[in-house]
Amino acid sequence: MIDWTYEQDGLVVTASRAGGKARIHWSGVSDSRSPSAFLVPVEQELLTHLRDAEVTVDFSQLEYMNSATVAPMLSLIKGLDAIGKPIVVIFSTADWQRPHLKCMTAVARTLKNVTIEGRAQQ
Amino acid sequence: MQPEFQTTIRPVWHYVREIRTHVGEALANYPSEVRTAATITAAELLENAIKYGESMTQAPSIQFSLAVNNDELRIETVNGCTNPRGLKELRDRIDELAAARDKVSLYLTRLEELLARPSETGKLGLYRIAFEGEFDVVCTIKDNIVTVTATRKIS
Repeated sequence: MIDWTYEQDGLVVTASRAGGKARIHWSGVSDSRSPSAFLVPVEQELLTHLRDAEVTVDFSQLEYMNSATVAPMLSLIKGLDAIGKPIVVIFSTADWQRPHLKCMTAVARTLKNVTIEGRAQQ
Repeated sequence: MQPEFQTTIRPVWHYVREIRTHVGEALANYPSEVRTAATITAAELLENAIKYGESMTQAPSIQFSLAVNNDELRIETVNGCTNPRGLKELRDRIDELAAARDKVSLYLTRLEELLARPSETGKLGLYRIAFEGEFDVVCTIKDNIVTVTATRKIS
């Protein structure tokens, strides 16, 4: 298994790949003024590392994100969708993520390979 | 005792996280959904005040307040701003929210725009306050002092 970790100001994004399957896990808090400045380069690296992989992106452990994080989050999901392999995106069914789960389920209908799932908070 | 919290801050980003934490603590005895809505709303209002506000003689800092009166939760920011384009955009967005029967549609439309054009950012905070937080938002602008007030019922 190969692992990558990206961390900035309370936000931790870890990725791992074993063969044709990969996982991206978000945790901590994303509330910086310009999350794109950190996340866009992370996205570019991850898309290179995870080329041709089936990817699960797990946001369920993310404690908080500001509205400025939404754009780079969508950009990552859209970039993964373009890989052409099945992508699963997980949100928590608890509290602040519940609206995101609902909205992403609606929005993801325009993406060919993305499935949105809800997971009860552990 | 009804929770109440007021503070004045310089437009420095780290205060957003601090105040978000204070808001959560002030509402510790309230339902999780209310606490979450309030912390999101407080943070998004403060982010806007810092990003788009200006320090002026009449308003050198940003004022933030949280109050619960009877069954109503009220979160407010006050800051200076002389940018006419920014002020118009604020008014337009709040008027749009007030007129919208279905706030989730505004939010979804903006998400779809961001999905289609990932290099775009912003213009989601007020929608988030209205949709996720279920707050009503109004603003008053007088002598370049902007007061944005978000209110919602607790029960």
